[in-house]
Formats: sequence, C-alpha cells, structure tokens
Amino acid sequence: MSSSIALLCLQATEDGRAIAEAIKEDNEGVIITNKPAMIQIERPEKITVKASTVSQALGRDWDPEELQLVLISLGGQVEETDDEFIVYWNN
Amino acid sequence: MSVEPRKKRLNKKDAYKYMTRLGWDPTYQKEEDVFPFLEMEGLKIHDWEAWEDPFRMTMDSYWKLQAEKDKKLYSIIDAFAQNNAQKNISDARYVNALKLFLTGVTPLEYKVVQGFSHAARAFRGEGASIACQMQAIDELRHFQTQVHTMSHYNKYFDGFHDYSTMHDRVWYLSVPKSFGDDASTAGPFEYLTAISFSFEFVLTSLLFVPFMSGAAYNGDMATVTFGFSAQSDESRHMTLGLSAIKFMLEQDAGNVEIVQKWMDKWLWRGYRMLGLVAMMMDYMLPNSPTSWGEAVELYIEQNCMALYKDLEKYGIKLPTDLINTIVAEKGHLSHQVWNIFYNHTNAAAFHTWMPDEEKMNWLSSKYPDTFDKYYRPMFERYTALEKNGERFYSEVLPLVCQTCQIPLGFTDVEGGNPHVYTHETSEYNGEIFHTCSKGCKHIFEAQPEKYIQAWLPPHQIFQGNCGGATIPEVLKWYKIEHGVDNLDYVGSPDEAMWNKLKNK
Repeated sequence: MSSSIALLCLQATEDGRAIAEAIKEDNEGVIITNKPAMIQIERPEKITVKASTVSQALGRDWDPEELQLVLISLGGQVEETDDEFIVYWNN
Repeated sequence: MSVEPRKKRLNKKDAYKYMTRLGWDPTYQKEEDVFPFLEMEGLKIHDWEAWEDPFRMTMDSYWKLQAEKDKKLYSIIDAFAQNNAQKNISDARYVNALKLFLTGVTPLEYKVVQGFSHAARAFRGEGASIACQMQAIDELRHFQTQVHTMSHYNKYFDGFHDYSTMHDRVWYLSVPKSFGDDASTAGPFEYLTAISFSFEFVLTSLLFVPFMSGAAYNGDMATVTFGFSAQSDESRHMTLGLSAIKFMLEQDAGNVEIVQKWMDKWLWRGYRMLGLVAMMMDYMLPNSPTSWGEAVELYIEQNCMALYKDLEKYGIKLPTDLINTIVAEKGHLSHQVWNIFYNHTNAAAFHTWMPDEEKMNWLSSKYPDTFDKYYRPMFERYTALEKNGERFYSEVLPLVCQTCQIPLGFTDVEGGNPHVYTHETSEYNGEIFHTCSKGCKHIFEAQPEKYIQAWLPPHQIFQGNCGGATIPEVLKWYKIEHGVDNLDYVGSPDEAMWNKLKNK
C-alpha cells in the first residue's frame, strides 16, 4: 500500500461535478475539497474514474478521454483504457 | 436514470498502435544523418517502441478535444468583453500580474513550440515524435489564447503593448528568456527533461493552479478560463514528462546518472524562475487564495516527494540539498523578490506598491515566523517614505546571477542569517562569475562554457548595447513609456482609468 497521495484537480463545471460524484461512489476513502473554480480530489495510492458510473451520473455516454476537457492537474501516473481512467502511484 | 450500453469500437490500445506507429526505416540515407542529435548527449536508447503515451492520444481524438476546449474558451472571452468584465476585477493592481504573465510566460510558450517541434524531428521513435508534435501544437494554442484573452485588458490598461520586444530586452524578463534559451540550446533529451519533466511535471502546477485560482478570486473570469484550458493540456504534458523520464531510465542503466544531473539542474532552474510567481501570489493579487508557502507545501513537499520516491527504483535520488533550500526559503522568497521589484519598478513594465495594513496582516498570518520579524519593518519604512513624498526608486543597476539572471538579492537563510545578503562566486579562465545560490553555482560550474555567454542585461547596458547609458534611454529601447508603464501604481494612468471605470 502506497502512502503517496494520488491527486486529480477538476474544473468545477457541470461535467466536473458529475465526475467527482462518480469518483466518490467508486473510491472509498477519497477526499474531495471544493476550491475556487476547482474540485480537488485526493486519495492514497489510487483514484479510479469509471466510465460506466460517470455515464450514469451524466445520463449520457461518456468516454474517459473526455476527462481531459475538465482536467486541471494531476499527481501520479496515468492508465487510460476504454472503460477507466486511473491515476496512481506505484511506490 | 438508465443509459444505453456503451458502443463497441476498436479498443484504445489497438487504435493507438495503428494510428501512431506510422514511421519507416530510412534506406536512402544513413540513420545517423537523418537523426543527427540522437547520440550527442551520451544517452543510449535500445528500443524506441517501448515509448508509450498513457493517454493513448491519437490525432482524431486530439483535434476533437482541442476544438471543444477552444470553443468553450472563446465563448467566455467574448462574453467577458461584451460585459465589460474588466470592471468586475477586484482592483486594477491585479492587472499587473497579467502584465508579468504576458511578458514573462506567454513568449516562453511560443519558444516551447519551436523546442518541441525540434524534439519531434530529432527523435527516432514515432511515439515520442507524435507526443512532441502534439505538445508543440498545444503550446501554440496556449500562446494564442493567452494573447487573445489579455488583449482585452490592453484596451484599458498600460504595459501590454509590446510583450515580445520586452521579453527579448527587459532586464527581469531575461530570467524566463534565459530559461527558455538554456533549454532549447540543449540536446533533445535534456530538453525533454527540462520542459516535460522538471517544468511540466514538477513545477507547472505551482505556476498555473495558484495563478488561475488567484484570477478566480479576483474576478478575472477570462484568465481563469484560458488558464484552466491550458492546464488541461498540461496534465497530458505532465504525464508525458513522467513517461519520458521512465523511458530514458529503463532503456539503459548508464542513462541514470545523466538524467539525474538534468533533473537536478532543471528543478533548480525552474524553481528560481518561479520566484516571480511567488511574488505574484503573495503581493500582486489583491485577494490571495493561497500563499506561496502553502503552494510549496502541496506541490513540492507532498507531490514532488511522491514523484521522486516513484523513481527511486531506477536509482534516482532526491536532490536533498536543493529541496532543503526550497523549503528553507519558502517563508522569505516572495518578500525578497517583491522588495527587488519595488525598488526597481522605475525600469519595469508594470507597477508595484506597498501592501496595505490588511494585506500586511494576511502576510503575517501566512508567514508567522518571518514576515513581522524581517519584512514588515522594511515595508513600513517604505510606506512612511511614500507618505513624505519620498517614494524610493533605485538608480543603480543590480548585479545579476550568471545562471538564473535574478539580481543577487537573496539572503543567507540556510546559514541562519536571513537579514544578510549572500551570493556565490566561481572562477573560470581567470574571470570571476557571480551566482545567487549554491544551486546556480553548481549549474554554472558544470557547463561554464555555456553560461559565460549569458546575455546579462546590466552588463549589456554598460557595454552600450541597450539604447544608451541612462534610464530614460534604456526605457525607450525597452519600449517602456516612462510615467505610464512604470513606477508606483499610486498616481499611474492605470489608477486613473480604474477610478473612471468605477465612477470614483
């Protein structure tokens, strides 16, 4: 188990808020902080964004690559597939 | 709410492979003639195929996403202009942060377009080349969107009129300019380490995130939007920076030592340049969401440490000395840099001012160990002088660091003497060269033949290369209009314009 904190900062937009909701549902122990114009998401080791949960929250088909439209910053390595966007530390 | 099951398509991994691996092996020409820069830095690459973009970005997705980002941004820029939103900012002092950004950072974006185009051409593998090409186009977008966004302020405020000439000539802008020139005159692998890794991964959040949060706190909707729009690209650049470093480290054990040297050098170069951001965050934003000290805690002490820990398995070591200095200086840096600019604002393309009582109290609360002890008394003295009509402007030229080109205005914080100025010296070919810190001295001494060629503004003025020997002559050459673009905010045409906009 890594002690390093994986980080995602999203724009506080309609899509950004829905993605943050989906992250909250799928990532136990995640800490979500609202900053000016920005949602800061932190969790030890790993944050997983599941396309199915985000699609459910938005009510439309959402592709993980769309995360880039609301992404401000991240801390960690990235793994992107058709179904998930993962930011993680491997230490 | 239920949604349709997601449509089947070619999976991302395959799509990435088919759409990026489009290169060929040269047969008419020798490989070393086609790719002449690959060996000059001593790095060994055995398998270019191992380069992979974790975002698996392909051109079709790229254009689609970037067009969407631009559409969003330009509708906000239009709305900003249509609603005269320059009237809604917290105070016209804020606009000076934009002037510093436009003259200091925006031209660097353009410089980086050239740098990544060159790196894209220099690399042998298609994965690396395509990533560099996309980044070059991203940076061009950043340059353009920043100029377009800030052009609205040019209609009302001074100092925005000739950012590219200023970037090339003005003394403090040689700090970012020399950073860009230093990177782009290195080989392609060092370039990637400098920009993609050290700047984009380690430091970019320190620049953009506080700057944009600051814009949000000060009512500047347009800047928030261009910043976050650019930052969405930066997240991809950061990830590429990390992939690039890992790629270099994994290819050959002999690469580790070379890459470590570059990582240390560029961490320090980038940190020094961000001294300008420290001052902007703590002094130039009328309402500051975060202090420089707090940003260092999040982005250096938390994120940067995690990153180095991640690279330990390759044999990369945390540059403890540099990090210790950054942490030791966090309570001093912004105050010292603002002090330099306050004294030399007669030769700057933006205004400075002394913080009011409320701001001083905010600084005391954010820097309880340093502000009241070392800086408040000095700033209160400046304020008292202003009240007597004796606002101080320095008439002399500062000696600047041979490496980072910042004036030698830093003090001996680590030696326990934060009130005593300090610098380092080196001798090369019988001449003495001055640097601001151990970090910069070390960089100078590793490549003295490069840094003795530095274009140092005070030296150039004395040599007669900057329009003349007096401040008015140099200002004219800088394209700075005396009494308009420079001097204190109080009494400036900007202040008069702001009062008019606010019907004061």
